[in-house]
Amino acid sequence: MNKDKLNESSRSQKFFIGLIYIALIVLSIVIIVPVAWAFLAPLNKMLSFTVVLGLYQRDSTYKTLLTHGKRLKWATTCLTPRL
Amino acid sequence: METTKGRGRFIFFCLTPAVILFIIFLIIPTIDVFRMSMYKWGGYTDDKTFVGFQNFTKLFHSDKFYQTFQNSVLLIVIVTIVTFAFSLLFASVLTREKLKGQNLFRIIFYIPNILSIVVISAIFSAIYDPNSGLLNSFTNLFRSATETPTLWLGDQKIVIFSLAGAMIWQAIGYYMVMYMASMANIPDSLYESADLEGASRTTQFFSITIPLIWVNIRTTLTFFIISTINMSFLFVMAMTSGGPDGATEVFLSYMYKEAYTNSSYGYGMAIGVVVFLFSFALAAILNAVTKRDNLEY
Repeated sequence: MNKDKLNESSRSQKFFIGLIYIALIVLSIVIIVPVAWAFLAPLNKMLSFTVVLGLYQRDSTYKTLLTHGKRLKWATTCLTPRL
Repeated sequence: METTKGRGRFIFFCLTPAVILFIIFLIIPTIDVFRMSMYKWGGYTDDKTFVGFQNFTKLFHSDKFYQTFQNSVLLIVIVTIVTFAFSLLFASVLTREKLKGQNLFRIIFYIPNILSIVVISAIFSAIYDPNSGLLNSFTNLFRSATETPTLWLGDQKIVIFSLAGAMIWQAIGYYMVMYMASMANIPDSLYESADLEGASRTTQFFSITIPLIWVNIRTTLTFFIISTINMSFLFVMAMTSGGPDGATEVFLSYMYKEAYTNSSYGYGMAIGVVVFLFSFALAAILNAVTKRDNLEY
C-alpha cells in the first residue's frame, strides 16, 4: 500500500519536473530564436552576396572616379573573377 | 561637542554636491514643466503667452488624448500582469527546484535585458514582418496560402498586443532576477518544515514564497508602471511611430509629437504634467492597496 503511494508520488514528481523542463525550454526557445535569427540575418545576406552564382556579370569591373590632384582618374576598385 | 560639529560639517560637505545637482537637474526642471504647461509656446521663439489652464482644458477635450490614455493603460495592465506572472513563476522554479542547466536558463532569460530597446524593436519588427517575418512563416504552416498574412504591426486591433509582446519579452528576465534575489534569502528550513507538514508546492508558493517576498513585489509593481510608461515610448517610436492611425500612440509619444513635431511646447508640457500625476497617483494607489505587515524570518 505504502509502496504504491510512494511510486505514485515519485511518478507525479517526475511529471512535475518534466513540465518544468518543458516550460523552461519553451521560454528559452522563445528568447533565443529571435535573437539568433536577428543576428544571423546579416550573415545570410552576406552569404547570398558572395555565394549565389550568376548574380553578377562575369568579368565585370567596377570603377570609381578618383579626384586626387588636378586630373580625374578612373581606378578599378573591384574585379569579379571568372567563375 | 567639537567631534559632533565636525561630523555634521563632514556630512554637510558630502551631501551638498548631490543636493545641488538634484535641485538643478530634477527639482527645477520639474517645476519648470508645471510652469510651462500654463503657457502657449512654440518652443523655439521667446514669444510666450500665459494661458492658465487652457492647455489642460484642450487636453481633456481631445479624443486623441483619450485614445493615448486608453493605449497606455492597456499596455500597463497587460505588460504588468503577464510579466509579473511569468517572472515570478520562473524565478520560483529556478530558485526552488534542483534542475540541470539552471545557470544556463538564468543566462538565457537575462539576454533580452542586455540588448538595447532599438535592437529589440528591430528584431520584433523583422519577426512581425507580414511577408518574410518569423511569426507569419510559422503561422503559414497551419493555414492555406490563399489567406492574407496577418499584419502584426499594421492591424489596428492587433498592433497594441504585438507591442506588448515585445515589451514582455524584454522585461521578464529583469524582474525574474529581482525575484530570484529575494527568494534566495528565504531559509530552506521553512520549506522543509512545510514539506514535513505535507504542504504541496503550490501551497508553499502561496503561503511561504509570496508573503516573504512581498516587499520586493510591491517595489516591482511601482517599477512596472514607471518602466511601462517609459519603455512604451521607445518601442512605439522605433516600431510603429504611433500608427496605424494612432492605434499605438502612448502618453510620451503623444507628448513628444505635440512638443517637438507640432511645436506646441506648452501643450506638450501639459501632457507631461498629466502623465506625471497619473503615474504618481497609480503608484501611490498600488502601494496603498498592497500594504501588508512586514514578515520577519
